[in-house]
Amino acid sequence: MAKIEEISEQLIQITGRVVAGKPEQIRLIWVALLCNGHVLLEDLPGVGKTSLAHALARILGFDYQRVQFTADLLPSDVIGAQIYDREQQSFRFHQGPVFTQLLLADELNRATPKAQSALLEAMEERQVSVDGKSLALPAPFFVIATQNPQALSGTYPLPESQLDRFFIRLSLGYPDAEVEKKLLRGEVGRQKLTDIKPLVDPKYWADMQTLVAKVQMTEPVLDYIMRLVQKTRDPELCSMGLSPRGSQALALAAKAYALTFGRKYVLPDDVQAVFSAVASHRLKPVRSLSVESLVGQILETVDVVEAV
Amino acid sequence: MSDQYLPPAKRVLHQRAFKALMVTQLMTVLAFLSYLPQWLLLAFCLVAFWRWRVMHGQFTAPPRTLVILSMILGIVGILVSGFTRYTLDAAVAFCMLGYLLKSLEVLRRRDGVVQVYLGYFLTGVYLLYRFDPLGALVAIVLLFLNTLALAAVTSDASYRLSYGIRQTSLLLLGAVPVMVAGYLFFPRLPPLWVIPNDQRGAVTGMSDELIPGSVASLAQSSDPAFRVAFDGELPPRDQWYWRGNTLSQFDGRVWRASYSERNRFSWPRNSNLPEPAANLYEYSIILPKTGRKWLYFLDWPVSANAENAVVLPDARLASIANINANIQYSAVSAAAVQWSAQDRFIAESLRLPAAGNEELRRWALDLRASVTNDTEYVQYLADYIRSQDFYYTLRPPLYDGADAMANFWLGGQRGFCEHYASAVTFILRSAGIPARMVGGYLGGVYNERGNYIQVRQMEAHVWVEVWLNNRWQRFDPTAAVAPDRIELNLDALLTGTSSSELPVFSRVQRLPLLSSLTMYWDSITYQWQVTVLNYNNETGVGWFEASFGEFSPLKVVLFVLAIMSLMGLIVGVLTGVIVLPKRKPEPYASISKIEKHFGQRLQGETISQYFVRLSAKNSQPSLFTAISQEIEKQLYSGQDIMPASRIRMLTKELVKEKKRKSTV
Amino acid sequence: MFQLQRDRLQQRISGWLEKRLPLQASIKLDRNRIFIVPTWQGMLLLVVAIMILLLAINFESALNYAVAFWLMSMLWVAVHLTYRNLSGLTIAAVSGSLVEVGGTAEVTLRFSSQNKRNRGVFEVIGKPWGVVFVPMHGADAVVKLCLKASERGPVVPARFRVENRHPFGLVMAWSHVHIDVAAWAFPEAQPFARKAFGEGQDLAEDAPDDHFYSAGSEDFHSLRSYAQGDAIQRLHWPSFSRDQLVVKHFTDYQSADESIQWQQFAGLGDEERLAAIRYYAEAFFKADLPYSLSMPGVELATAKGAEQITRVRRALAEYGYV
Repeated sequence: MAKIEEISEQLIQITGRVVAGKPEQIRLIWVALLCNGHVLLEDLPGVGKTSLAHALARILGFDYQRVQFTADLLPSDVIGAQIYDREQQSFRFHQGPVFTQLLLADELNRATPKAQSALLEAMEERQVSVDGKSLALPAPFFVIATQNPQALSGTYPLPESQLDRFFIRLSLGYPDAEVEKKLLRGEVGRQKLTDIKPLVDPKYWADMQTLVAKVQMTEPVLDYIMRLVQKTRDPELCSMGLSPRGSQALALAAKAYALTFGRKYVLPDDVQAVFSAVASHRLKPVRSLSVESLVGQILETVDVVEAV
Repeated sequence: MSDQYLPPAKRVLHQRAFKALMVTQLMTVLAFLSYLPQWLLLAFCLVAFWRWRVMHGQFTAPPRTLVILSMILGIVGILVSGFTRYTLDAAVAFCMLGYLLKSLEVLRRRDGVVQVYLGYFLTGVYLLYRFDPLGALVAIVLLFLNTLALAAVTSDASYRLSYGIRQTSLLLLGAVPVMVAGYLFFPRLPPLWVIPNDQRGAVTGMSDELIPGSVASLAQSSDPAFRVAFDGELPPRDQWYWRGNTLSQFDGRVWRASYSERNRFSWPRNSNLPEPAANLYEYSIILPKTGRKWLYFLDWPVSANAENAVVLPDARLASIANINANIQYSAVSAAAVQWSAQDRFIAESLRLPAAGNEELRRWALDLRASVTNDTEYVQYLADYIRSQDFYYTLRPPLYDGADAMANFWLGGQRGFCEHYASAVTFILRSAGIPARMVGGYLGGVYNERGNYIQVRQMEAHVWVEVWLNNRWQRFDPTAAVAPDRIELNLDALLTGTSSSELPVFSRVQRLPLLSSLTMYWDSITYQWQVTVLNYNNETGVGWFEASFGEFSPLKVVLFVLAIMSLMGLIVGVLTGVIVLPKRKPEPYASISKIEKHFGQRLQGETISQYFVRLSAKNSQPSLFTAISQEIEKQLYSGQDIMPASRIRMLTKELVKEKKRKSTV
Repeated sequence: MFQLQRDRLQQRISGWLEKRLPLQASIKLDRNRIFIVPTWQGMLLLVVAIMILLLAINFESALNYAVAFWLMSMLWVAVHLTYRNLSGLTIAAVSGSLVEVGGTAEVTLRFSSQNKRNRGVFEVIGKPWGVVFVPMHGADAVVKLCLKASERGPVVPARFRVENRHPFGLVMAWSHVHIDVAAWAFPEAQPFARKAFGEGQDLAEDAPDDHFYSAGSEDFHSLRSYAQGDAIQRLHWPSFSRDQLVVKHFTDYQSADESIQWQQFAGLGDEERLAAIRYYAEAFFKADLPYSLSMPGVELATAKGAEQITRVRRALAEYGYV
């Protein structure tokens, strides 16, 4: 197996050919995958979410499925259903698209809460229950869900408790002018997908995750994380602070982030880099603040190095 | 919650305070028990019983009659116990009785405090009886207990023993530095007034008078008489004759000292010690209080350095005042000496009473006729003792009356040093040879660990000095009986006699392990004696002048103030009143140093962001990068590969660079 | 003569104290604010130490020098130990109670400190309450001081003494603090005639209560004919069956409001007016009636119950002071 920082660099570079100009976001998604976590992309249609997911699946050698969530989507459309087989004279389980390694759940907020929760449960449990029988999903199992923040009519926004199931939330945003020009020239784009060869043998997947756990996190960094977390629990800033699960995710993400540079220890810089992605969807600021400015304010006001 | 204000002194004591007071009192009484009548324990029982009543709700003062009755009984008891004269023992006994009976009335805080303070005072009194390391330890325990009781007495019912112990330890330990300073610098004043009849314990050492049996009682005590530390070589063991006084006046029954201790104004003045005629031994002696005036020297002193002492013509010094504290003096002795101006004493050493011991006189004169000179005469006596059936025993038959010595020499032939010495002196004087008796000690135990000789009371001895060939020469007739006597100490000598005669201590000492242990303990007490008890101002002043030049009151005041403020600082830090600024550990120290020179790091800025910002503004970006990496590694890598000194060095370099830039 | 001098001295001392320990809501005791002297007990220890020193001198007993100096320096260490009990202590005002004149008011203070050292028992000493013992074994303690409320208005503690002798009673450290905290005393009730006042001077008893009427939702009030825009849910269905389009109208229950007003007690002095207001307010409170209060500087909306009476009492107590 190649070194993890090399894999990371290649992954970012290759994916960058498909979705150009977003190396940081790609790194964060890669971090989420290393941490065995799901990703929520909040974006307008057409910025390249689908291409991104597809490219990642190819690079990592995963099975890939895509579900377009709509208002009339039923849970069984995601999970699968018992279908009567005339020839066999019996019910047979027809697997839904969830039985894959990388699932792109497009426009999750368009579906009814019922369909949403079917997927969210699968994400959490990494198995589905059909007629009282549990069926394990393939391992690894990742969901990259997208949400359209603009389209509010006729959507069912995910409740806070469900947002917590996503390891990170981020948005790609519009590409830079320079990059978009390239796109127009056809130097990057979806058509490049076919060139992509798998980078990692899926059998090394578990090893990579143990590497994440081995990254060193010293007392000063832990203290810094605790200060950040304490700040999110300040009632003057947030009406809902970071939960212990959230702070766990923060620490884990920081470790994985450090690992993508091949570092065996975490710097506060790593924590800062992942903080917005990990924390923003788990926080609820007081009325006068937006989440973005809240996160920015927290990062600016919490001292990184507190002398003993 | 609010109450009428009651001054603390009048507040009622709580249960735990009563308990603490009682334990403290019991320990104090126990410490004194061996010096005072044992029945004082009964008084303690009465107090304990009353306390028990008080603690169980009978919160009343005892009836007057009970207090008065127990007071009268106590006083009568003390008088009956033999403390009739106004002595320190009697005073202490009364003090103790008061201490016990006073506590019958203890109900309120004030009473408790008074009891504790009496306890402090009694601790001081205890140290008049004991001044060895163990005694000091007991005193410390008593101080601790009293202070613990004080903590209990002055707190409310929420008092906890563990907390009290912590506070007490803090108080006592915090007080040690100042105590030491006071001990070292407070001048040792002479007694401010005469203490009536200051005779604590028995008067020890050789007495002015020699009455048969008195040396025997000394010989059975293993208490130390004095300790001798030699500078350089030790004299041979058979010369360890420690000279006390000389006894040359004989009235037919009692030998008396040449110079009475009682009347020092009768002592001859301007006497000189003899001149040395052989190799010299330098030594110093620590003499515990004896209540007498005699000092002891190795035979024969040729010069001596002792405070308040006068030279007597029989080759020794005596103290002007009774020795009521431990004293130390130094002297030089020689194995042989030249005497001068002894005519008067030679004449004195020939005097005998007109009558008594007629048979012995005849025996002496008969012998005179058969030998040619005085030396032979003495030699013959020694041979005679050796050849005849003379025994050395501490239980001789009683030789009494006017012919006591004749009865011993010609009849019983059983006795100890005193009998031999007095009989021989009598015989020599009868034959016209000047002779006198010398009282002192013989032998001692050499303590290797402390490099000193310990002489014990059991080594008391009397021998004879004869004027031969124009010199006083030592003749020890007892040595003729049992030659081993000179080579070994009394323990060894008496191994053969019935052990019931011996003190326990000397029996115990025969076990080798115990013996080495007791030697060890003795060397500790010796060191204690030398360094603690004998500390005086000269030692302090000497040390002071050695370090700070000439002694002046201003300097002393400054020095004491300096020490006090230093100690105050230490105590302040210990008790947390003063908080010392802590030195920041690396790399935080370096970070703040860099911040001082290059501007503050923003709150949300990480180390690398900060240094990137700095390097953009300043030259030498490589140095910034290096420091940034070092600091990050130090803080976050969790490994201590890089010593902090590297960060410090880099920081220094950076700051230097900056300063150089700004001056250019 | 002596009296005069003593007064002047007293004045000086209090002036000096005022400068060092001014009136503050919260005060942190530090070196400038803590006084410390040995107690009689400490002095007695010194006497004992001197006696032992005499023992040492007269009996030439070396160890007694040590004991004497040990006792003396114990006193000195005790100064440190007791000093640190007060050092860093913050005394802060918390609240004051609200009582009737003649009652016992209570002010609450908080003793707090940075560290959780056992500071022993503080004695808070002041004339009105005698002594209050405040054991402080942790980071803070709450102190309640009782004061006699002799007059309407604020009941404030005078400068009082905080004293500590812990742990050995050898020295006493104290401070005279003046804390800005007040309890409030409201006047005793006195029945004075309350004259109605207003436009017509006659608040006719028989007039319909309709001017009290306001739309609400709790209680059924009346039926009235349907107007366009009325909610369908409010239709009175029994009438509808009789082909009448009638809607139900609801109201919040409200009786005739009592209003106590400053002007209702014309001809009375301020204190008497306050006493009278108190009387009527208490009467309404007892009868559980709602009422409003209007007096200079204070307008209380109509309400009833314990909260309202507390508001009224506080307003009465604070009148002229706040």
